[in-house]
Amino acid sequence: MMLPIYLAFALIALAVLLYVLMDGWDLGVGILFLIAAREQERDEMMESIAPFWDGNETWLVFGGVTLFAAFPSVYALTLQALYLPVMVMLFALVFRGISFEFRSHSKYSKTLWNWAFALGSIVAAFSQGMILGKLVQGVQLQHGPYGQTFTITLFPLLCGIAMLSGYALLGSAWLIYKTDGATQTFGREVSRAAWILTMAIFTFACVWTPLSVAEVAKRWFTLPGALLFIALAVALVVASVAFWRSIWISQSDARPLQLAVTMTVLAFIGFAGTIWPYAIPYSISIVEGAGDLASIKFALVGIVVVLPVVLAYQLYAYRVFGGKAHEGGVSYGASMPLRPGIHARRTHEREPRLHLS
Amino acid sequence: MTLDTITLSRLQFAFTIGYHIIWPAYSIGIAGFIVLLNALWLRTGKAVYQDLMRFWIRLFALGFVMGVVTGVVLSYEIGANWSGFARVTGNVTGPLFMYEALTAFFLEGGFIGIVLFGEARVGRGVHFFACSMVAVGTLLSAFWVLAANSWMQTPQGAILGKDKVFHVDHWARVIFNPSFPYRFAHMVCASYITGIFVVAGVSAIFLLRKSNREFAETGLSLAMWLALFLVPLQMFLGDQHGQNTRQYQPMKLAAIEACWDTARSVPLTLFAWPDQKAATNLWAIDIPRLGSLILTHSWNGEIRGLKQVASRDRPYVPIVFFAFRAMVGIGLVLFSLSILGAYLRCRGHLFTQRWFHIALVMASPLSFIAIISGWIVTEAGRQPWVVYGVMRTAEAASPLVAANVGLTAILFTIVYASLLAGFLWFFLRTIIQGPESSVLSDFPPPSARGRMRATPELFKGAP
Repeated sequence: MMLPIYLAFALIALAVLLYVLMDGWDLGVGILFLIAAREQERDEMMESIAPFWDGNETWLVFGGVTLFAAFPSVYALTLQALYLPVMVMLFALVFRGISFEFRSHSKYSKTLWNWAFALGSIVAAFSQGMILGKLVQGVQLQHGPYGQTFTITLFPLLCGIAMLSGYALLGSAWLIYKTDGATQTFGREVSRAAWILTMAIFTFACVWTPLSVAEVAKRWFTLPGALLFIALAVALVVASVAFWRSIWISQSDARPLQLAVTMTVLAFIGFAGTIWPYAIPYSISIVEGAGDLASIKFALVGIVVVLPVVLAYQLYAYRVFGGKAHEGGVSYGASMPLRPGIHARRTHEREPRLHLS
Repeated sequence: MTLDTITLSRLQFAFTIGYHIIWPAYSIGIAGFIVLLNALWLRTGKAVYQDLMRFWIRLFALGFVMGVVTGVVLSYEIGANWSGFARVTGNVTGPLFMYEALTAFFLEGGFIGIVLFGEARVGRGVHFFACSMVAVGTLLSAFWVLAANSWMQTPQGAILGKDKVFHVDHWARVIFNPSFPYRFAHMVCASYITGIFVVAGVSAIFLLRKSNREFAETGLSLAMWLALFLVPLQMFLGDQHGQNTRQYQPMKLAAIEACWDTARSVPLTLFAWPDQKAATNLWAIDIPRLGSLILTHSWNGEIRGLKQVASRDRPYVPIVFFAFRAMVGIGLVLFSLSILGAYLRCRGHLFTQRWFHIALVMASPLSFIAIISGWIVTEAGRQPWVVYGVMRTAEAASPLVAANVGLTAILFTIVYASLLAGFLWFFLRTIIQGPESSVLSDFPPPSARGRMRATPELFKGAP
């Protein structure tokens, strides 16, 4: 009887996870955008995500509207309670999205769109972290107008920075995977910095969260739940050490990205375990927040039938644009034909020191 | 009007959704045109179709991305600003929006990369398929979102329970509610017409600038053929939609016509200043009986007046009244241009009459204004209801602090205005740069252009 509700919630969780992963690496590229030394690298960074960003961001919309469909009151209460951070995220995503197109067309205003893209990505990532932090703290339901008192506590800010560095880590791993030459070297260099920052903040957050939120402490340190969190922590440590080691020396350029994805998935499971079984922490449970069973079933039929197809053609799109992104080959919408042979030439030009293995 | 939370939320939502709707309309129209060009290219192998397709894909990308970024905002704004609406109608509208994202947004997002960058990486057949999928995606998006909107206009298939929440008992009746087929057809046709007149206007710019002749002539010719069929079709669909409104939303129709008293043989009010407080029209210019003829297709058909309901249940008449006249007026202008285009084509002057090309350039933004006007008619005419006759707009708003909504409303205005400036800048520059063409057939020297001498004196100096 409750199965469709949990299934719907699991699918929303899956959508959010896929969003965090896929928009994670393209937001990450945006976060690192201004750190890159030259315009040439920025062009290549942009090019490595240009064909995918729209599909990636659709997971955010899909997660939101599926929440609306299956858990209407959760969707309504959470969003009105988090009005300002949500709006800030939306503004940032507007600037970031539009920069893909406008930057490729610009001649004189390229710097402007570089900044719009980078700041948009940074603010979007940061506000997503803030939203996450506020959810972990617990959303207070109230009767009066929302947003009367505007308090920023330290914990959501910390989560904002954690999100920022986590996305930067994914972004740097993406660059190692999708680019070569100088841009790839930049990815490797910045990857270490992102790793150090992520680890430091993540460790700090993991110590602070149970100390400041009693609900979390109860979940993390009582059996049998504690076993899950211990297992997750061990796996995360192993994965992050492996990541550090793979940055410069690895069998394939995809290895750091695979490990970064593994780390993100583990962290996400930890987050899900922390707020389980609540839909709005710690006041409304998944079952309490669910809408009509008939509506959920109607939505699920479509998801079960269509989502595999969606995944198939998203995968196909990633395959069409597989391999390394080209430098100056295809700009967004302009000059369609690829220059033949550019791929092979660039492979030869790779610095030998990048091939230690 | 006090600037309380509800008013500010309404202003912000009206602005963000009104701004958004022009981009999907543009995308639907241009995506359809791209599929047509791609098909023509595959069939005929003529390079001019390939040039046109590539050029329009570049212009499509600009509008498409505007639609994407402003659309993401809406999917979260509904919950953030209209939590009452989301809670009460979520069982009904939620799954419809979910299906929109599932079947339409993913389709667009999945194939847009191949459309924009993939031509050299995939075969021609796959590229055509990708273009078609994006076009189908834009249509599916319209299908679901208009199903949700139409349900709000003419709700059925769901019951308002004791818990003050809608529960669906029949999905087919929810989706195919009485106003949906008309609204869907009217909106899709409007989108195609919008695209067509943008194509016509841009082609006319090339003709006026005397560059890329074959390219411009082919584009203009296709656009004018399509306009000749679609504009009259749209007028027919609009009439049908009006009949449907008379049946299901009589007060909206009364507001459109500024008709206060229920009567037979009502006149057609060409112009008036509707006075909401006194419930009467000032300075009315009427044509006797024509109102009944147009609205009911009979000389003495009955039109129900606004006084049938209490004044608090009436929409604000002036805005509905004037927006409707703007929409119909623009429709008549576009109709005249379509007929004129056909006439000029018969006479062999379609590509040479500069005054006609100037008129097309000036007309190309008009259909966007018509679309926004049409949406103002249908949305303002629905007031004070958010779900017609069942749920008031005031009950739908989130209990937010007015200052926060005011702040975001101001920010949206600034951000969206600068986006529009950026769009127009890059759009116009792409046109001025022209197609990256394999066909470089320019105009013949001036002496060879015999028919050009027919140009009226007035426009001789035009660019």
